This record gives sequence, C-alpha cells and structure tokens, in this order.
Amino acid sequence: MDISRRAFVKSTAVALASAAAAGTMATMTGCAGAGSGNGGSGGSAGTTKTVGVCRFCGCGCGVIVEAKDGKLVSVTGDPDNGSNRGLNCVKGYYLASALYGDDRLTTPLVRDDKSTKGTPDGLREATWDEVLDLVAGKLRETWKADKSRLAFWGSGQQPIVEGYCQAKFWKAGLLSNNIDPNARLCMASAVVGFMNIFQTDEPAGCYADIDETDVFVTWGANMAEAHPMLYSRVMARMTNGSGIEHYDLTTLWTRTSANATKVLMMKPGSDLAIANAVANYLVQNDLYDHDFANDHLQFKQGTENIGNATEDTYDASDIGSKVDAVEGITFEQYAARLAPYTLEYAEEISGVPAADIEALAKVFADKSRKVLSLWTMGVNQHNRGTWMNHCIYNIHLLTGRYAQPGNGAFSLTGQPTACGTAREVGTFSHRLPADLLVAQEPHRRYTEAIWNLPNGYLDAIQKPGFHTVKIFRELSKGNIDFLWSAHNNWAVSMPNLTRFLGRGDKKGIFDAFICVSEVYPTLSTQYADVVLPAAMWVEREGQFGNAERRTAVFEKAVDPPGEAKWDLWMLMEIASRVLEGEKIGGEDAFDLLFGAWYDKRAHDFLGDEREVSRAIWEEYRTFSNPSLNDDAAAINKEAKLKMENKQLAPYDLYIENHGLTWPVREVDGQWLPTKWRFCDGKQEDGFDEVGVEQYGTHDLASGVSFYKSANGKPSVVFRPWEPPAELPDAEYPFVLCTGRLLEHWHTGSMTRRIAELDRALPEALLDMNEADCAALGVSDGDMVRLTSRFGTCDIKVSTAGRTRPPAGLVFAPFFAEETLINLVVQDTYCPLSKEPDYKKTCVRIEKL
Amino acid sequence: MVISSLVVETVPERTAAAAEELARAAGVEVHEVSGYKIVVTIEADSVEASHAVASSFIQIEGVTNVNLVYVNFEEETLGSDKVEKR
Repeated sequence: MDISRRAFVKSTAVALASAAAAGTMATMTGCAGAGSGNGGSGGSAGTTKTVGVCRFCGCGCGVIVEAKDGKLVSVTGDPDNGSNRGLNCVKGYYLASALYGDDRLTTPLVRDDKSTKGTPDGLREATWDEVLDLVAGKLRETWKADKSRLAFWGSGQQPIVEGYCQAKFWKAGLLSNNIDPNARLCMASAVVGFMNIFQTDEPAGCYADIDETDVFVTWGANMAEAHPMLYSRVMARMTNGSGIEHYDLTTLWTRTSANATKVLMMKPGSDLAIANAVANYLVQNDLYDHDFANDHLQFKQGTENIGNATEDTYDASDIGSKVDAVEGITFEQYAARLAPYTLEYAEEISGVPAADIEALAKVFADKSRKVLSLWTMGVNQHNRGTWMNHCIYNIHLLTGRYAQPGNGAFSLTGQPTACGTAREVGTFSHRLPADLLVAQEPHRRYTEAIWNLPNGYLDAIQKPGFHTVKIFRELSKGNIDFLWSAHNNWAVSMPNLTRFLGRGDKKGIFDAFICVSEVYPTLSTQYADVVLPAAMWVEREGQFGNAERRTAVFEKAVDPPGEAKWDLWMLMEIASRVLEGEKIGGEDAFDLLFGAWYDKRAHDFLGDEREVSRAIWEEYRTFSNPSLNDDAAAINKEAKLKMENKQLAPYDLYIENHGLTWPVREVDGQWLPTKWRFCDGKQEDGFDEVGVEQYGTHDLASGVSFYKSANGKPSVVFRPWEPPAELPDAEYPFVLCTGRLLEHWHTGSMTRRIAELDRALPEALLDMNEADCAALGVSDGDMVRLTSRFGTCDIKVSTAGRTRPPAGLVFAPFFAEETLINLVVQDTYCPLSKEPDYKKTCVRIEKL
Repeated sequence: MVISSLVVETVPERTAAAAEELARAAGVEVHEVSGYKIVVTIEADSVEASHAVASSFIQIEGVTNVNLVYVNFEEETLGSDKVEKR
C-alpha cells in the first residue's frame, strides 16, 4: 500500500476507534448519507458506503460496508445501530471473505442421474430457463397430483421480504402448510414457551438489559462462543459494575464458565428439577413477589408423562395429541405441585449441591439486585424444551423480574434473522404472518383481507402442515416427491442423518426431486436434483430481525458473482410458472399475489431492489398496522386481535435509523421504537407507553402491564422434571452433547470457505474427560468410533478442547461434514415445539 | 496490508500494564487510553494475520473484551495494484 494511502487509512482507523471508545463515533463514520435510499453514499477514493448488518449470527450487529469496483474494501462497526453501537466481534474481519470463497456457486446446476446423489459428482451446468422450467414443472406436477407430497424448508438466513413472499406463495398460492424454517431446530421451544405464557412470540427485554443487571444466570448457553458480542457486553458489565455476579448452569465446562462467579455443573436434563427447586424455595420461604403475583399471574398445569417423540407415530398418538392441553389451578395447587422439589431432591437428580441451588434461589429472592436469565440451545434443544422455557419464566414471574430494565429472561437466538423471517413473518407450518395461526378462523380472515383473497379462501389450510422433522421423516419414507430448501444445510444439520441421508433402510431421499438454493456447495447440494445459485448478504437488499425485536435493513453494496441471482427473483419466476393459468377469485393467481411488484410477462421486477423491498414491506407491515386496510381494521376490532401491538414502521425509517425495535410507534409525527415491552414509561425513553395506554392498565405492580396475555395475565405453568429420552446404560454408557464453537457458523457452509477460520478450527474433535479416556485406553489424537441406537461415526479424541466435559459426557461440534456427528444424534424432539434434542444422545465409544 | 482498529477493554487496575503489553506486539500500535479502554491499530499482511493478532489480545492479563471497530482489506479484495493513492 502506498505510504500516503496507508497513512490515510490508518488515521481513519484510529479516529474511528477513538470515537468508539469515547462513544462519539456516530459523527465519524462518514456514512451520514448511507441509508439515504440512493444505494449508499460516497466514501473515500471513489468508494461507496452502505448500511449493513453482520452476516454471521443472531446478535444482529450493524456494520457500515465500503465497496469499490464491485468489491468490499472495508467494514466498520455501525455506531447508529443500537444493538452493537459501533463495536463488532473479531469475526467481523471475515465479513468480506465470506463472499469471496473460491467455490461460490455462480451457475445453475442440474443432476441428470439420480444414482450420483450423495456424491460430489453428477451436477452439470445449466441455464436459468432450464432449471426454472424444471423446478416449476416438478412442483406443479406434485402439487396437482397430491399436495401433501411437497415441502419447502426455509431458513433464518433469508431476509424478511424473501421469507414473506415464500410463505405467501406456499400458503395462499399453493394452499399448502408444508413449509417450515430451520429455526425449528433452534428456537421453536422458545416460541412455544412465549405463546403459551404470554400469548405473544417476543422477548419483553432487549440487549440493554445486559448493561443494567446485577446478576447473570446462563442456562445451557455457551455465549462466549456462540454470541461473542453479547458476551463481551456481559463481561463489560461484570468488569465495570460493582458486585456483578454470573451463575452458569451447564452440563460441561465451557469458555462461558471460565469467568462465571459460580458454575452449577448439572446432569443432562436435570435443569427442570433445579428450576422447580428454586421456585419451590421461593414459595416455601415466602420469598416471591405477592403484589406481582396478584396483579399479573395466573397458574396452570398441563399434560404430564408425555413420553418421547422418537417414533413417527408420536404426534398422532393418544398422548401426542394432548401435549398442549393445560388447565387453570390455584396458587396453592401450584405450590403443592412444587413441594416435592426440595433442594435435596434437586441435588439427587442434578448432582448440583443443594447449597448451590439455594444460593441461586436467594439470588432471585434478593430484590435489591436485578437478575437477567439468558439461554440458548441447552434449553431449547431438549426433550422438554418448552417445559424448561416455562420453568425459567416461572421463576422470573414469581419474583416479579420480567419486562423491566435489567430484570428479564431472554432467549438468545442463533441465526441472523430467525426472529425476523421465521417468527415474525411466520414461515412455520402452523403460522401466518405476525403471530397469526392457520388454525384460528379470525386469523385466516384477517390474512385474507390483507392478501386480497376471497373470504374463506384460506380455510383450506386450517390444519397445520408438516413440521421440520416430519418433513424429513416423510421424505425418508418416500412420501415427499418435491422438496425445495433454501439457505440451510439439512444434510449436515438434521439429527439422525443415518436415516435421513438414506444410509439405513429408508431410501426416499434418492427418489424425491430436491431443489437447493445456496451460495456454496454443501453436503445438501450433493443430494440436490437442481442447485440454484443465490446472491449472498449485501449482494442484494435484505431485512434482518434480530433477537431483541430490532429490524434493520442491509443495503445492496455489490453485485452477485456470475449468474447468481436474488432469491426473490427465483421465487417469482418459479411461482409464475407454477401458477400459470390459475385463478383466485376470478383473477390471475400470480398477479393477485405478486403483481404489485413483479411483471411476470417481462420476467422482471417493477422497480429496483429498494422499491421492490419497500412495496413488499408495506404490504407486510399492514399486518401490524390494520388501519392501512379497512377490512383488516374491521376484523381486528371485531375479533379483538390487537394487531397494532407488533407495529412496524414505514420501510425507509429502518434505513434512516439503522434499525428500530418493534413495536415502533408514531408519536407526534415521529416513529419511536420500544425497548422494554409491556413496561410503562415514556415512549421516547424506550418504554411501551403507547401499548400500555391503548390496551393495558397503568399503575400495576412493578409498572408493567401484560396487555397481550389472556386477561392481562401471563401463565405460570407447573412443568415437572421428566428424564431424558435416553439414559446411559451398559450398552451406551456415555451422553453425547453437540454444539457450536466460535469459528464455525453452524454447518460451516460459509465459515469453512474462509481459509483462516478453517485453519483455526480445522476438524471436529470429541472433547472427553481424562478419566474416561484413561478407562477406555484412549489418548489425545486417537480415533474412536461413536455408536448410538441411531448410527455411527468416527472422530478424533481430545482432552484439551474448548469444552471440559465431566466423566460420562462427551462433546462434539457439528460443523464438520467429514465427521457428520449427526449420523449418531438421536431423533427425538420436544413434543410441544417439535424441536429436536441434540444434547443427550447415549453412545458407546470404541478405540479404532 | 490490512489495517484495522480495535477498542480493547480491560479491568481498570490492569489497563496501563495491558496497554504496555499490547504495544509490544508486532504490528500493534497503542494510540490512546481512555479509562479502561485502549485504542489500538493492527497492521498486518492479511486478514488472517490481523485476526490472529486480535484474537491473541484476550490472552493478555486484564483484557476482558476485544472489539473490532474498523478493518480495511482493500488490497486483499481489489489487489494492491488497484488501490488508489491519496
């Protein structure tokens, strides 16, 4: 680099970091014009700057992207994005590298010979016309013959308007509910928990709670590796606050345990017993918040002894069909249900000393300090994942610690926009946009009004479709003829791959027609009949909904490589072919659904990406702004849907503001975000003033009003401890836990293209306890064979890995397709949420 | 050449010592100490080398967080011959 250029870049770097340290960075980024709606502002030396959101995880950190000559040249933390305020984790170094891997998919691919499935061979280059005709033809053929035999598996990687259009095509265009996202694998238990307890799918708090709390409690969460930016914020609070504590409940020692004040090392699946013991302690010792309970809570119990969803017949079985049932009980009955959960009983189940559980209970009892619970997959990927979500909220609700700054319970999310695209848009098999459910008649009427469908048109989809595991179980049995997956890597991420990849007796995957939309070759593309090369990250405009209800837009900065295309274009082209000649209410089906932004005759959008995104967004946000549609407004009022409660702002405001947390309220001509949901206070300070005023009640205990919950009262539901689906025995004596490590995002389809990250963590290792190694006669570097009731794989042993498991437990990450740990992982899911349990497979280990 | 800047956060009693140790690392320059925060730049040959240096900071006693603020990799993505002089 030329010396003067070097001096300029360095002085820019210093000024930005100095301003970030001082909290005055907003004036320094030189991106005041970015987000202007003109595709970015001018930067230095002929560059453009655009607003973006980091590609890698669900934290949703804002970045300013600088591009030149069609390539990214720098990335800066976005000081105006409230989620990260100008700071990124060190993965930000690789944001550009993720776009520029050597094997980016740049041409459509077709497989002519199905016998090559499951190998790296057999795909040939094709034209877009050929693949679009082929995919649409197969989809239409299946749809006309038997629409129970088609499915779409989406992703939390897809931006909001793409997911919205995909859901609209599937639900209204095809009248099929066989659409589900990979969010089913990571946050479905949190979703069902939210809906059961609060009747709304959203966290009440926000990331700023981290800066205000006094005690962190992590439940089954390795934040240091999976949510590094948020963990940095935890550490900043730990370091700079006074007397801040962190209790880490975990089944194995992780990097998150390293700086915890207290680590509660528990046996797998025993978290329910610990949480119930904490609740019982609070009730028995009269340490719960009486005012909060009186004003805000109702008590329930539900179906118990629900078994495990390991067999294909579970959902339709007698017990499987009753798992959602609950009944009201009194507080006294709730207390009686908790009574068996003494500290000693919880110790017996969990292995955690009673004194440590008591110390945790006292943390919740001490109202002089604020407490924030944080959790991820240890809780959600659990054979009782929904129940465990209940149990955490039970503690927070009993002690009045919810929906207030610093006092909260927060389910961290995994994927970039799983909240935005999967949950808020409703790309689940049982959902419609904005929390609406296919099974609810008023919800269907409301959706019909916004989608301009005939009254009753959506009654055809009132029965939920196949959830994710059901899709793959049916596929394996030969009951799915057409599968389209977009931006996920199911051939690595699904459990029980021995079955789902056709390595057992079920070979359906080889017969079905499979279309995969992707940016890089993956193991899933090896099973694809057609591969559609997609634009990635800032190669098109997209919208991101992160874990704290923050919606942000990433602007297009560069063109996609080769013939890779915007997913939305692919969808429009396929939808127009499939719906050719179809009518809805006498009108052309495609034009009715998508004609506002796509001209199928011209095979092109009616405007640029900004205009198209805005048009789709404005339709989507009608769901949360019923006043924009008279018919919707009437249904909203009559059915008391309270749809304004998730109010979204006009599209351009998200760009101008570098993200806003919903509900976003119009106050005196300004659109103001909400940081603390249900908490009374001034809207301009981030509190839920407008919502409480419209539907809630002022002056209730703790200044909160749960106006979305039935009767204004969230539900404390007693959920007992029930054991894991499998327990160690003589044949399978170890428990296998799987998870994610810092360098590799999920299945590594992007991060393993980044040579630097691949070198940093080149292979999946099996972390083992030294005593177990000694007993088995294995040492670091030895290869072992893992065998479960579901399958087998070979993996290298380490006692010096990132995690330190206790005796009897082993850990492996799941990013490595050459190891393919999910060949071994059990196929069972939470009966309520249908989310698989990846954490507790019983295995035997044999030295090779 | 890849140039990046970071804010390194520390426990307050170790800030000065951490700044001294950071300054000793190859390619690292300490520009400012603001309370418990240290402003540094890294100049390295590649994104990989920059990442390696930044990732090593957490090993320094007293360092609690390593925050990336800015990274310029124009020579890697454009090629050094296409980077304009200023």
